[in-house]
Amino acid sequence: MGKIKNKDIKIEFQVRAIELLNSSLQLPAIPNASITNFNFNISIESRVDAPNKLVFVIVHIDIKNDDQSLVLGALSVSCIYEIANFEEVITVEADGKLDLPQLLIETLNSISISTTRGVMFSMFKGTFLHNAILPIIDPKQFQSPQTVIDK
Amino acid sequence: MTKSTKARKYNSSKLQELFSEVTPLEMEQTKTKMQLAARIEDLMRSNGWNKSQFAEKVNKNPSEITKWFSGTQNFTTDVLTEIAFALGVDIATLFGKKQIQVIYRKEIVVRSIVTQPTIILTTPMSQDVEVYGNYLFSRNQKSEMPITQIFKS
Repeated sequence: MGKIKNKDIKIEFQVRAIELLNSSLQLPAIPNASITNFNFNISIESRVDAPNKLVFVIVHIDIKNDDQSLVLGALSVSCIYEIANFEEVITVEADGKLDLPQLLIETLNSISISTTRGVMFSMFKGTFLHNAILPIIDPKQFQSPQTVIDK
Repeated sequence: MTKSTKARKYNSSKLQELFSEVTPLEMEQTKTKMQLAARIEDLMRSNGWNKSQFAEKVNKNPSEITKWFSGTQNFTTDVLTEIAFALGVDIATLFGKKQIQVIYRKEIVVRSIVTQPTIILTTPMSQDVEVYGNYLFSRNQKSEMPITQIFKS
């Protein structure tokens, strides 16, 4: 079981399941064109199931070519975590909304992206996307939730 | 000297007086309005829309949506039906207890550029070729690794 300290609260959590939701490959019809540079459009979403103390982190990745004109592949992975001390860690606001500590969001996002990197390599090994390895992402990029980069 | 950073409890007779004027029914009405607003916002986020996009779907100004989400709006049945229709849910869903909430959503773009390696990026082995499972690793094999480029928001 993982443990992280957030101010005075120790967050205890564990991975309960990893689900591959979707994966697809689309070989572009351009003869003899080797694709070397990739763009990874990552969409990450956290959902909370309070009664079952679960957090679902769903990572969806669209792999695109250099100029983003072609979608070469896509993959969706859901990582399911159980927060052992859910009531201590996650606060419920007056309007019923749940509030997760930023540190927990960042940690779960980092683990989920790393897991997705591994699942993606396993799914696309030996294909034309063999070298499309998801680069390392700065956890600071996960700050300021609800901000969506316009593409 | 250690300085206390804990919030202190504020007692005010005026505040107590104001609270006592609010009836349990009024409290429940306020709570329902706030929960309804939160539910609509949550469903909007589940659809991947922002306020402007949602405003477009329901033919309202974004300022109207901000007012809805403040939790003070007294919705009419017609407006709730319109909202439910735009969100693609049944009107009863708007009052339903939230089982699973979307609490975070973010999109980022990362680019990888393959460069010719100047160092050997192959795991050193005791022999030239070793077999692990169905993989072949060779000392002479050249590997190309991407470099991270993050597009800042």
